[in-house]
Amino acid sequence: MKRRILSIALTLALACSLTACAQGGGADPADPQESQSAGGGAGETSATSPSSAGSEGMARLTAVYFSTVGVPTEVTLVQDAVNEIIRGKIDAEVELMPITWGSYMQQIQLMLAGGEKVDVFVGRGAPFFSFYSNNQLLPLDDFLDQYGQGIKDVIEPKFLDGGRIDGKLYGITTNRDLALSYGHFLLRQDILDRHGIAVEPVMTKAELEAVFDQVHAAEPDLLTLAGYAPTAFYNQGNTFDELGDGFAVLRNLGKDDLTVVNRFKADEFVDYVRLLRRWFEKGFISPDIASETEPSTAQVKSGRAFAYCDFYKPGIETQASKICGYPMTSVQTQESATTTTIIQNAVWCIPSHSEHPEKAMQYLNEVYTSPDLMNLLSWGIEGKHYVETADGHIDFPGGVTSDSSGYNMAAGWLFGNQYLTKVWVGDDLDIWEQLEDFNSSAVPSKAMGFSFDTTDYVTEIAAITNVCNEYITTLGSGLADPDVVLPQMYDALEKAGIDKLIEGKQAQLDAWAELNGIR
Amino acid sequence: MQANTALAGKRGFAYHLRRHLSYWPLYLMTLPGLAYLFINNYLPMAGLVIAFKRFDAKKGLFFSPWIGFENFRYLFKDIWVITRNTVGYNAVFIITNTVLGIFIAILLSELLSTRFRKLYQSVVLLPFLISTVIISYLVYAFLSVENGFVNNSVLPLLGVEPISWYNDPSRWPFILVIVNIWRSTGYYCVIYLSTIIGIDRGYYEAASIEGATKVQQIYHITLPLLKPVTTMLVLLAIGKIFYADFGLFYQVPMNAGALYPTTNVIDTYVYRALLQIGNIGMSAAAGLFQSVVGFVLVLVSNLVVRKFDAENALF
Repeated sequence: MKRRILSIALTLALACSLTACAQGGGADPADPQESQSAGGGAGETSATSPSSAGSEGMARLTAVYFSTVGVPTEVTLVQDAVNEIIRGKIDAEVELMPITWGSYMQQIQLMLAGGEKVDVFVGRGAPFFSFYSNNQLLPLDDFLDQYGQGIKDVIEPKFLDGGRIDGKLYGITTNRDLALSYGHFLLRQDILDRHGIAVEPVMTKAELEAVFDQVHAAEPDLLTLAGYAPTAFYNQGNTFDELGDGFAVLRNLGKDDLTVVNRFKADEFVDYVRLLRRWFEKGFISPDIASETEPSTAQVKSGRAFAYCDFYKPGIETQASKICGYPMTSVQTQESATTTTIIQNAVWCIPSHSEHPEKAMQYLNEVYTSPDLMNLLSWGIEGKHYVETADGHIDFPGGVTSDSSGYNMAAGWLFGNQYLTKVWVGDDLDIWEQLEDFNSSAVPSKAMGFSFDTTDYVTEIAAITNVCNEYITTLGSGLADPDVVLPQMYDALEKAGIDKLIEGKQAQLDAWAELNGIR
Repeated sequence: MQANTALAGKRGFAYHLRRHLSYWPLYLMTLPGLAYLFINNYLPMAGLVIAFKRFDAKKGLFFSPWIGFENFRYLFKDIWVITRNTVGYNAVFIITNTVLGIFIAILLSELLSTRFRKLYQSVVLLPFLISTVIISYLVYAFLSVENGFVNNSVLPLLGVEPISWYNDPSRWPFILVIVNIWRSTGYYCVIYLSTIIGIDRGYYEAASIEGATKVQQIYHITLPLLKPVTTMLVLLAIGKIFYADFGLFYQVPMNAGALYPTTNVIDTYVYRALLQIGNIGMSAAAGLFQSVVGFVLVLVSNLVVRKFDAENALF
């Protein structure tokens, strides 16, 4: 008998060890390459950090954020230059810790859960809320009043409110493209010219369809509209304030009223997926789109495709032309919007376990207000990583390319106040004024500043996410016939509990509106 | 076993202590392994409590509030589909891996030329060593609508219309089983082959002197002697029947949403559901659920084996 108990215990151990393996596997990002580069990134930063040891007694902050271009090799040089500036001003030094984009969310979750040293970091999306509900974030209002006057001066209050949860400020947005324009298309101008087709900067989707018809007839071998899995064109049809999850939403970008509806049953959504179905049947969209993983820009660049979708922002034509290698023309089919969800794509947070929250706020305040710091963090060291050109732009120094540069973050939008940064060659010199106008002119959703408390609805959201994942590729690309698929999807959504979600969100939204006097 | 216990009762504690002490070098040798098991597998088990809690960083792991089975609720929303897929595929995989693995191993063992046996052995093992991501693109090369081999070269010959493979869930049970056979059979074949090679040649010589044919030899000597290792491998596989091969079910179908009805297994379901939310308690709940089911399955299948064939049971 004893032997059997022992062996059962051993089997239990074996089973649990398997769990450990399985969990490790499940938590990893799908792409093994990504997790590898994460390891590399973390190693690099930890290896480089001691080289710039802080002075005695001075507070040492750790700033954690993501990098879309990998971890720059010369981040310590930039860090030293940043510390030269801030040391005298706020009596603190900072350690910069960029983490590769693909593994950032996972890394920062682990760092916070493990209580590692983090003083400021970038939060985004649904995890931003889960940090809040895990009690991992510090409310920032008092610190902002006391140490962040500069931030309050440069960020419009309507955007600042986007970082609020339950009335308290937990994340400070950066000044970047804070409004989004969905339903925006980029078309190859050379093809349009070749066939004498004219387009306007703003068109309806029907007018655009006529253009696609002509192009498709004239260039049958060219893919008319490039997209890729898993979401295909799903996001570009968005006419809603997504209120976080994007399932229970407000119509017309939240500009009309505060009635929460089921996104997938809204007329706009149904019309849009029908339109995509028609485009698919006309042959505008690749039949392989469900398994296409090459970014749209790459498909255009390789000469395979005529047009693609991307969010509109000032200067997008110049940028797109540079990436695609063809002159690209921009066509907007929808109004621009700004919602809490958009703001929360990147907000600076201070974790509740930070030892120097007041210094962290002072650091942010310096970054948001100092052109020197913003240029350092975004572009690197002048003369080494960039040089000023005769006309006032900046560019790589001679002999340096984007691949060989030791610091090529190119992410002015991430660090605080993009309006303070210098303009890279290829963008208009007044790009930041254009961007500021674009942001200011966007009509915010009525629910701006409302963050949905998901605590009691995580089960429903997880289940709906799965339903949604099953259908968005085919609906968002026209692969499936909406008249067949939508009823199935509604059934599945109902079973997953979308009605409970809508009800709960409506109740919270009403309470929030009552409290803030919004109707 | 009863005799043993009776004996132990008579001999007394001092005797046993002395007997165990005399094995001390063996205990010493197991120490690093036990320490490894303890640190990696037993210590983290304390963290399983998080599956029953609403995690709060300020209060910490052990002082977060209890919420009962709330974290498990989402698993049961689609329990039928994911259980059917996970257990169904794995059951088929266990059968194909065992039957085909033994079949090929016997074929290889009957080869007279050692050099060719080694060559074939390496060739069938090769797919097992290829990364799933690469396999997914190999499969894509076959199944792509526009440029795929099947749609462009095979189906036209048969006069069949091109098929949108990544949009049609009904065909994927077959595709996944074929891919798994292609990939894993070699691995199991090598294990079985090594057992077959270890069988005493004397049995076969005796059998052929008695006039047994090759088929009779395989049926009466090879297969019975393969039984212990087969039972063990099958039992281990059953223990993992509730764990799906994430790569096979996520990468190979290219994560195509339309295929979820037949490709969604518990691991991919959990991954997709929690990727956005990042809830610690819910991921722990999924892991705990999987290991409990796996544990129960091992106990049950071992019980069954012991009932019919006590010698080959694991315990």
